[in-house]
Amino acid sequence: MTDDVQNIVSKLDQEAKTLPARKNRCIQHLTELGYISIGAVNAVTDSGVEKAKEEFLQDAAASGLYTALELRRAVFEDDAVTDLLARAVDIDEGFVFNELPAEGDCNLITRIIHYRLDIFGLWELPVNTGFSKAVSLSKIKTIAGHAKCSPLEAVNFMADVEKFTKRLLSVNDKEKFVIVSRPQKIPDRDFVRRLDRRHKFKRQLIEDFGTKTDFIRHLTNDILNNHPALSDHSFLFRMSQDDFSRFILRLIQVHQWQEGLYEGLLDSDIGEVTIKSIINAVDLYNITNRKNIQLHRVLTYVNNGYFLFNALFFLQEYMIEDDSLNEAKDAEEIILGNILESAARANDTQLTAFGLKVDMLKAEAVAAGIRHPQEKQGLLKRIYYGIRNLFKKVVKISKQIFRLVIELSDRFKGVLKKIFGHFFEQLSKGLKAFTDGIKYIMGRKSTTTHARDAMISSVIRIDGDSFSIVSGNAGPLIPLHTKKVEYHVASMTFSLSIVGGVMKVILSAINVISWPFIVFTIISIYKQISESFRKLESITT
Amino acid sequence: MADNTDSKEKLRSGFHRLMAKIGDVIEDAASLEVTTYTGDFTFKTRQIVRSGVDKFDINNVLKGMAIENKTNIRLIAYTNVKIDSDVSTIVKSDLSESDAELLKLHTAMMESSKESRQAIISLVTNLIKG
Repeated sequence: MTDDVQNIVSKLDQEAKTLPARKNRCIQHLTELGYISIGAVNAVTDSGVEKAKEEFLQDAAASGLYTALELRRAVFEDDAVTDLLARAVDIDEGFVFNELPAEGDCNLITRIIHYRLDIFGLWELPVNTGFSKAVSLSKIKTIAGHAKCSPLEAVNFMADVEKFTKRLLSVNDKEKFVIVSRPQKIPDRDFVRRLDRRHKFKRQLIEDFGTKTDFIRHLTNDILNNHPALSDHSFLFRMSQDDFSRFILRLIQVHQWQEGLYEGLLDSDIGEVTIKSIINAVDLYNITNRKNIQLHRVLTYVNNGYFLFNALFFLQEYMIEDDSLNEAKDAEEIILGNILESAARANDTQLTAFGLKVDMLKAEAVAAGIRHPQEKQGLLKRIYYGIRNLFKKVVKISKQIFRLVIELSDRFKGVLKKIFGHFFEQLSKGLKAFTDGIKYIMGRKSTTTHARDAMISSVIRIDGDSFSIVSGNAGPLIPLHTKKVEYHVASMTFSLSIVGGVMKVILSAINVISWPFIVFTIISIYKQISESFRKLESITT
Repeated sequence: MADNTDSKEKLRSGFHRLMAKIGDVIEDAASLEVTTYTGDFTFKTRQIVRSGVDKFDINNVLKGMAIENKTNIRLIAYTNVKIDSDVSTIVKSDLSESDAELLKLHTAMMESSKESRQAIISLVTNLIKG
């Protein structure tokens, strides 16, 4: 390999080494699905993880949820297991089922259903408990009651939180979304005083709901009055214990967690950390929509630790994206395109500043990956890795992302961490494919299959010439070896497509070439090529 | 991710050289050769198992056989496919039952080799399309 090409490969390899490892993501998903118990996660060993992976792969193969190609890839590629797990725990575009498991079933579908119930705060048993009418179905029926649908529909609604939220908003009385909450640990006096917006909240409530119903009248006259100490505390207590209200608060926490705004435990307790995340969500909304929504539109402190939430406004405005907006995949392309455009126009000082801040985000993503998952208070401290909803929001400010990264203010750090965390993951796969592609072009790679004294080895050169050497007793190894070679060629084809795509962009923009430009080009091309390969796979399998 | 002018130059030069290498490869892709050999190299197989398969290189087997003075590798089949689709194949004349089994591998390798060549042709076509 020539020095200059070697220089590129070395730089790319070096970059790959600094990216967050996916090992902890794999452990998190295995724990979420009950293949590793929450109690064991803080001290899980490598062999424990391997055993859990094997068990998951067996269930995955029996589930019928994955294609043969996806399963085969998981056998040859360690990282591909994490991709299968990621699809199982997806609550943006998760699996949709045709029927519920039978009594006693403890298969992957049972685990996914229990995992979803766990996310929404309704599952306290281990996720790997067998499906039962007495517990599993009864919990699903609670969700079905909130969403006014059948149990099967409820299970499928939980696979798409945005769609689920829309459903809840459309089938329930609007007043039910005015919610009372009392955190387990009441935030300090200064914090709650700053959040006491009773009068403005009351005016807004009357504007939104009128004063025709007893409920709103009671709230405006007896709760949101000038003498909080005289508020109807027994009413506040009853409201705060209401199942639907508690469920909606959990839903808000899930939304905040999905968007990287909330990094605490999913515990249904709307304490100081969750409230701060709601304040940040309002901030993000104002920036992305060029609006100036005040906090009283969403919440106010009342008295004695009680808060009032206008969850209707919050969920409608902040958590549901207009359907006419781009789908997340397009949004990601737009965001990447705008980062690339900014990098192409930036001067050396800006590029250096951007590169340094991206490195800081990377270091934080690595640290977060090391910290999670963890058992805490019997719950799993975890990260949500999906990005669909966040990308749909952030696309509106995608032209400013390059600048926001350079500024890297605390306000948006969480959101930028989440966006770039996703990019780093794409980059990790993209870099591997790209450097493999270069290595295929510059040299040769062999595929070997052996068992005891039998062996087959094949080399396929990039120009198609191939050479195989087989020991006389290796006949039984031929089917496995052929599969390995097929996989090798498929991965080479993929890698060469990435190289072709990246080279095309870089050679056409050789004058604006810079390291950030190359890195984001690889992410962008990897995404595009992966999409087209996925489409091809779905047609051919 | 930090950058400077010197490294920009190196990057430009690296990508130009990579492009030149792709040009060389496409010239070699005019014909395709698939070769399958068999032989007795049990000792080397054990060595592979000990040293880890990832580090294995087919050249090591051939080198090892030369050192051990075991040069009894036998050609099972050789196929040459020209870009104009002319195909020449040589197959060992007195194929034993187990040798015939190895022909299946040769056929499978033909398919994979064609696919591999197609991948580089697609890359170049895509680059030329502009």
